[in-house]
Amino acid sequence: MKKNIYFIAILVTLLVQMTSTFAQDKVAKLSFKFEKVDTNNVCNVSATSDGLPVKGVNINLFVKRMLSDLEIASVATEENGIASFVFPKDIPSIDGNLSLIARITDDDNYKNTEVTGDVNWGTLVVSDNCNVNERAISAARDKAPIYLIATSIFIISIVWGTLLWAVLQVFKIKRVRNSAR
Amino acid sequence: MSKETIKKESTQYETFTQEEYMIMKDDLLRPMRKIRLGGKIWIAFLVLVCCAGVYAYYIQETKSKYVTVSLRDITFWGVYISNFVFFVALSLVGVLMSAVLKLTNFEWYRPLSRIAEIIAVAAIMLAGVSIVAAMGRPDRLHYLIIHGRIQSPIVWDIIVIMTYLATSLVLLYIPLIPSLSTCKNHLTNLPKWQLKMYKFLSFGWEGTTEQWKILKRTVKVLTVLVIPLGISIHTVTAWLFATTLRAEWDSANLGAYFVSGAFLLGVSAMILAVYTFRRAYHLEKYLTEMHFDKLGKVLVLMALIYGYFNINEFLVPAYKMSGLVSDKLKNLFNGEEAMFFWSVLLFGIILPAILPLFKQMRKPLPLTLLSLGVFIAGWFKRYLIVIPGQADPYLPIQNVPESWKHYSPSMVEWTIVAASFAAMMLIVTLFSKYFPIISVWEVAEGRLEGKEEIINYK
Amino acid sequence: MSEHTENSHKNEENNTSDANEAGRRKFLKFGVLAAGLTVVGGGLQKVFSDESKSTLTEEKVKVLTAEGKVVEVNKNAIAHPADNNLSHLTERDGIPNRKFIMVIDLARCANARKCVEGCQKMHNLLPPIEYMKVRKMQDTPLTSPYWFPTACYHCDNPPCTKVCPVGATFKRSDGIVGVDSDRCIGCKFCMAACPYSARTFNFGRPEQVQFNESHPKCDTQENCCVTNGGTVGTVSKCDFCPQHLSEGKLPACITACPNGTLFFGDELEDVVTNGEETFRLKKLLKDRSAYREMEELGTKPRVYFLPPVKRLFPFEDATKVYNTQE
Repeated sequence: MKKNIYFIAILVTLLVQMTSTFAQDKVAKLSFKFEKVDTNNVCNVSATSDGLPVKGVNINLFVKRMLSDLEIASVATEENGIASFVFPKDIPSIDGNLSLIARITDDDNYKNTEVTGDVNWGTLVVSDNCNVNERAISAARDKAPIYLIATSIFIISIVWGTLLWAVLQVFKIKRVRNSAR
Repeated sequence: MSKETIKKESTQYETFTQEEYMIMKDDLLRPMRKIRLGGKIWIAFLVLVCCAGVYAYYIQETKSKYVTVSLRDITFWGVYISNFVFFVALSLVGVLMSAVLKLTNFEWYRPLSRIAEIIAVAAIMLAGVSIVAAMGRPDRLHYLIIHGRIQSPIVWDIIVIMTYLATSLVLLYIPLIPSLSTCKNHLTNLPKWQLKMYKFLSFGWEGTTEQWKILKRTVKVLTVLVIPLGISIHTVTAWLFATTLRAEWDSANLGAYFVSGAFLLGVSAMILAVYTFRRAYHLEKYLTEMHFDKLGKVLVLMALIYGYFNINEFLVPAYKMSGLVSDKLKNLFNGEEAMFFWSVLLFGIILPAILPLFKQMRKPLPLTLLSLGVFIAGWFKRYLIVIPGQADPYLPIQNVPESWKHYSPSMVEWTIVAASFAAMMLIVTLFSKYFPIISVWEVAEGRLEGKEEIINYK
Repeated sequence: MSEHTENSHKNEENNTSDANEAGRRKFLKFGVLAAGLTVVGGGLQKVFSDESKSTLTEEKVKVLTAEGKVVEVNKNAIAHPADNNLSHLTERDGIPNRKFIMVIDLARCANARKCVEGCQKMHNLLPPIEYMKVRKMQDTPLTSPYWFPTACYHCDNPPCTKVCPVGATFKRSDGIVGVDSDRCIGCKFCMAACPYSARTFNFGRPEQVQFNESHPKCDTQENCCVTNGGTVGTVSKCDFCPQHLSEGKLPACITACPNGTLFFGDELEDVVTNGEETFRLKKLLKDRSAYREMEELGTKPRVYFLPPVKRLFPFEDATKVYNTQE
């Protein structure tokens, strides 16, 4: 009898513990809805769990960047399970496309989830390629400044031209001797 | 030209007192007849030092440079670079002693010009050798041509050095042509191959008026050309330092500072060479006391000019004591390097600016000793420009091994530097053995034209 | 009879005490078991819960390792060069549409020197050769000293690329100033021209040569790099780890720092990160009053410093001297 009680007690404890831990992590599903309100870009993230809207859950909105994710804001869901973000207008992007991520992280009641979506809300930015294609003293050999190339060729040709002339004069000395004979 | 004038001119040379001319030829060509024992020992010694240098370079390239050479990340330009600067400076002797004097009609240049030219040619060749010894990857030397960037001061330096070498060789060779023909005719008991060489190199010289005209015109043009060329060679070398952002080298003065230093060095080298040839070849009649007198005065002038640039280079920054250079200046004036710095200034600038003002100091021996001091101080002056300029970068030196903090050249480096000097002297010595070191026709011409002052000072 | 009762009493007593003993033991066992189950349950929960940031898909792919074994890995764990623009490019072409920038927060640097170690591991360097150096700086006699980590600044007006005679050092479109160790002739003019002492020359230090021979760079090693500092007789320096960048990873020094001092990012994206925190670049530079080292030299560095204000740690002097071995 005692052994039975012992066994049941253990079983009940186990069950309670398991249900309590798993009861903490309900699954919430997130979905994006992008719209334009007046002049603002608004991103609505709705959280639902088993078809019912989830209220009071903190949703963090990120923009995917090359080496990390930039956090935009953290908003809690309202009664209708929707967290509304006014998206800033100054997030740069090469082609305007941005990859947004909405996450639930470290919530007491819900498991961590995330959802990604693509929008074209980035401000266009064009790279000047650090001016590597311009002619400069610091540039590659084929991008030397024109004035430098022109001056160098000019000076070198004049000087070496004179030298060449001098060498030719030496040969002229020989020629003169031959003609004098 | 009328036929009569031509005949008159050509016979002018013939009526030059044959006796005097023969004595002159004898005197000037005697060194080429035979190499005496002293000469042989000297050449053997120089060859030995050169071989030691080649061996040292072999060790440097095959063993790790970290072990054989004292250069590190902080002082990475060492004695090879200061030696390079020195030899480029030395090569300006051709500009000063040959070209400038010629064009300004200072007739006493005549016995000196060929000596100046051969020193210039030898020095510039050794400058090239010294810089290649400093390269980390000499096996990639050809990259300078196939990948060379015209924006880089090193490429400018290479172009100017090549051009100056070519010009100096031509300027050495063309006035040599008449002398070669004289050698061929006069020195008949020399080995056959030597006489053949003279014949070949003399390019059929016969001393006709037309040939003289061509020769003189060409020499004049090249003499005018070599002056800006020589000045630019050392200015561009100065720009290797001035185009960096290092505070010690960031000076608008640097080009002129280097060129004026080169002129001073050139005069001192000239005095040393003239004294050596005078004694070794008994050329007292041609390299006279008058020459030393004149050279002494030029030495004073060049020392004063160089002193002027040094004042600008040191006094003005010392007045300001900008934080960028104050540590280095304090070091030089009354710190670690003070003894070194002041003795270099004393022997290199102050003494040559004052002592030759006295007539006794312009006698051959005292002047030569003074010039030896100037020459050696000149080498160390360039050391003081290159090495302390790297010792105090903008960001402080921390967490480095001891050997990185102080640079003192290794045995391998000293050997290669010594070998470069030996090689230069070897080139000059060998040249003087196979070619007349004093230009016979120029001396004769001066004599003929009644320019007594080329030899006898009035 | 009384004896028997006594015995039975005794037995009962014994039984009771025994029972008490047993009860206590059982209680203890029960407690331990419950605690253990809680721990196990918690562990199971962690295993089955969805807390990781990246979603691991079920899809697996077969790949061949360097040793020639076939293993299965998750598809997401492999970077596919064809998927994005960040594939291996030739050394002189920058990663397109990027302009890399580094921000160093001097308020956080505590001279841990993990950045130095990470960089040396990445580039197969042995001390005393360092690309990243940490110096103690003190701007004025009355102000406080601070630790100053610095490597190459990858300047926009680089004094080093101007003077290179063979074009061995070059500026890329993504801001990185690189060194081609196959072209460098070892003249060290770039070292003279750099005012920040960022470059180092490979003099062929015997220990380093041996180390490079036994650690050749190889594409499957985590700590390999595109630019090779191991070529004797050439100059090398910090290269912002372009190998890592082309794979979407941060340079070695940024991830190595325990205090998050070093931030790295793309100026065009206006974002920098130290691996944990991500900031808007321009806002960070404005709010924290950033500056560049020796701005007056006009080299336009791509590394900004945040002044050592409101420090994370008070300044502590170094306890030992580094790099004393030759």
